[in-house]
Amino acid sequence: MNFNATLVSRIRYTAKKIKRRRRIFLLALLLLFIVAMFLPMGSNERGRVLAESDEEEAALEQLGVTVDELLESLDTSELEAYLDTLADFKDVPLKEKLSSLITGDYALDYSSLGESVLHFVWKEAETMLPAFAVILAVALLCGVLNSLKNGFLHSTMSDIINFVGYISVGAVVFACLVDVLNGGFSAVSNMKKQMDLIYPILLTLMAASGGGVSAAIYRPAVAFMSGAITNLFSTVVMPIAVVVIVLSFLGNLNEDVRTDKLGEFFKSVSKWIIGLALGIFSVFLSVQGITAAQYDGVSLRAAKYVISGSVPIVGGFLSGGVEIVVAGSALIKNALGSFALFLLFGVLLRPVLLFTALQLFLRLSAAATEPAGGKISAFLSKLAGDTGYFLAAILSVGFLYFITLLLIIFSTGVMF
Amino acid sequence: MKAYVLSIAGIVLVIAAISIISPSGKMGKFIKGTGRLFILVVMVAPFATLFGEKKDSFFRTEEMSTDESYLLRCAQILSEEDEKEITEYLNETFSITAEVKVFRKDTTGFPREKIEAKITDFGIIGQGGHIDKTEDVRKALEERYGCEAVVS
Repeated sequence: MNFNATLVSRIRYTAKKIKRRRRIFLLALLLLFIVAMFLPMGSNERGRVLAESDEEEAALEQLGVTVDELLESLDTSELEAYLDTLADFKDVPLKEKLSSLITGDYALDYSSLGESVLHFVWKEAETMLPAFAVILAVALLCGVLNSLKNGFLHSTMSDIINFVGYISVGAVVFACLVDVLNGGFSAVSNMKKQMDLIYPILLTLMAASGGGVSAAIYRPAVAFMSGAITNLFSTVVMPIAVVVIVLSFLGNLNEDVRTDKLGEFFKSVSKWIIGLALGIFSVFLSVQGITAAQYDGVSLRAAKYVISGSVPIVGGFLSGGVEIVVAGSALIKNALGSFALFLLFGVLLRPVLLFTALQLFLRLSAAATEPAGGKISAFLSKLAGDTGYFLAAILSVGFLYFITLLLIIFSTGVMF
Repeated sequence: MKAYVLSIAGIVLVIAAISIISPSGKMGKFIKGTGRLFILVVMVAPFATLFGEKKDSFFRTEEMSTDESYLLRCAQILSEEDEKEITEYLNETFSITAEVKVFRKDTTGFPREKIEAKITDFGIIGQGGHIDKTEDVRKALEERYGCEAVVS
């Protein structure tokens, strides 16, 4: 009987496992299908319409001329002034770059990018080497003194020396941390500046490319993103992350003075704000944006047939002057959106690499000082984890900006 | 926030230093206990004032404006194309020459608002037929382009 019961329960367990695996597999397939539905169709080469007739060639030529004309009339002076303040984008002719993005002639040099990244991380690690040496020296000294505590050195005197050693390590670590934190604040401020400059241009191009309803929906959303959300992160979430870092230092100062629970409280506040901002804003905006784009697509097609006697100007795929202007605006919008993604990547790369270098430095220091004993190793290890909250705040803003840009770019695909 | 962090850091450092040098025994315990109370007061004090003050709306945002000149330029490009097309249409269909002005709105879709056509050459049509022709042209333009047409 026992054997039969065991066998039945084993069979039930296996069946449940198989059912769960099948469910997970079906869910993954569904997610893949949904993502594939909204991916842009093919590369620039495949996306380019093959001109089979003279009429279509003429249509493409007219489209090219219209795109150049529209690009000239687009006011990008403020954006160009901002680009001149960035080292990587200084003296970059913006309209030429947009043209090359539209024609597909622009290509990223991945090998030099990879080399730059590695060079940057190595350089940052080199600047942290003196700090590492100081931390190691202090930790060793404190370790030696700890062993003397039971010998001839008075207990209080060694406590004071440990206290001073811990403060010294804290001072060195915070000196390294200040640059990194400033880099993070600067990155968020740069992202806000970019949003303030790029969103109005994208909304204009969206309205010009037939996305009236989409532009009306995105206008308050991007204003909220650029204003309230970045304000929330830069004035609440990121300072909370700094408080968590400071409290992790203070909590290890003395056994009688503990600030761990206060640190936990601030961490949970930070997690909740990030979670709510990412969850609510991105889901809400995605659903609204996609629905609005579909409505615009239907309206655009209906408008073609409302006016009776509309004469096709050229070709078959661009059968009206409005469509050429709409298509031209859509191409410029997508090119500008792609350029904005490059800008975002450029702004985010430095603080992410700085944090990577810092976390490596802290964990290496924690590992190196662990044999010496004392509180220093635990503090460094905890700090390496707590700096992640600050990085999470920066990446959250970057992610929300990224999602909004993608939605604005992809809205064209649904319209046509 | 900066002042809050600095105040906590300051009080914790001071209390930690005092805890180390304080004597053992009842006096030391009293000092440590008082120090913890101070830290508690400093940590909790800002939260007590938080609910008393009326704060400005945190989520107030500025409106984003669009580039009106770009939309106007798009409407202008389309108007110029319309004018060429209508001139050819009038020439082919009615054998007349006209100066055409098309007005489009600078909103999504750039719909046509009005067409103004001034006929400069009626061709073979005599003086008597001008009014009828003008009326025919006006009706044809309104039907074809779905907007108000003024023909003179």
